[in-house]
Amino acid sequence: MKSILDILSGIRPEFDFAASQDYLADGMLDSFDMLALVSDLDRTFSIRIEGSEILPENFRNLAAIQALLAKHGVTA
Amino acid sequence: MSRLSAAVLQEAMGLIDRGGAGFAISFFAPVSKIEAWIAEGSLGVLLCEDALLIHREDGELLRVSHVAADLLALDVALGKLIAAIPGRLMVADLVGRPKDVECVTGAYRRHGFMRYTQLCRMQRSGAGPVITDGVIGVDPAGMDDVPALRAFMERWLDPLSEQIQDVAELRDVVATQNVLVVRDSTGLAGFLMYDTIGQSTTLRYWHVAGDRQGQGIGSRLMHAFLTRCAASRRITLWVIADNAAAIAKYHHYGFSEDGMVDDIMVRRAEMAR
Repeated sequence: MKSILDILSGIRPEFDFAASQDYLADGMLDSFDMLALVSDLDRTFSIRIEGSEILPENFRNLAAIQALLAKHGVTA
Repeated sequence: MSRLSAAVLQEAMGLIDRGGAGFAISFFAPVSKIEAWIAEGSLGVLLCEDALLIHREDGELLRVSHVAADLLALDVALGKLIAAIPGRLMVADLVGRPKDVECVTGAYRRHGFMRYTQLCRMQRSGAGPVITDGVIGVDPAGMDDVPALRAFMERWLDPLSEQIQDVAELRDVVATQNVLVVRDSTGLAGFLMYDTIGQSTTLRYWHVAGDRQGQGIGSRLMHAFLTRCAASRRITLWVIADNAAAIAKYHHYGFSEDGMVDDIMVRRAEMAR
């Protein structure tokens, strides 16, 4: 199964996501990328991220995404 | 709905079920913009079952955005909006992959919207071609340039396909030093505006006055821009999809289409029923 970093790199291959603590402030994800990320996370981990969870703070860095996935019972 | 605030709007957006395959969204404004629009009284919302429409006064236009659980819910909501606010010139930006956008444009077409134009997104990743030409005669805009910038945009830009900033917004962006201008004896001959967040830059405008084209002004602006943004790992822009000349220029500077499109849908006031 793909890792979160694999998914992020698939969306925006030009950035080093492992080196950033704030993908938004570092300009690595925009609104459209975030929608693509939600879709890829849903599909990869067989979950359904709710509309109310599509908030910038849930996608700010790897730890935030892991915390979001944990709410859906996924350890990644 | 409670008194409108950015938090209330986000909460309403969260109520829309996005679990189905038909989920559609065209509203991506940052909180700071939402708060500014609410403060000036230009933002309104229509919350229906499974769809939320957000509309914003922009001069003569009413800009319409949506968050909808599916296309049927969007269809119903658009019908209610048009019944509630008839006789307005409405514009909607529908952004996404072409096959996804095409589905959504159908809902807008059913309510009298027609495609005005299509933009395509281009990007340049990593290091682009090395710029070796000089950038003589290109300066960062100052506050004194704001009235001329506003007048230039009103004269040469299409308000349906470009969002023309008001004077206050222009002053804010000029203060960031992210507006480059070329002046000549008659005034402002061209300008380029961009914004940078972290490692990404978005080119917002690159325009030369219609009667100053062919004099290398655009080239000087672009070279100055690329020099300033050399540290950006990603530069994006939107261009009219059938503007082959502009796209060829962007290719020359190392940009390529990334597959995203923006269908600008317009519903003219005279079509109101």
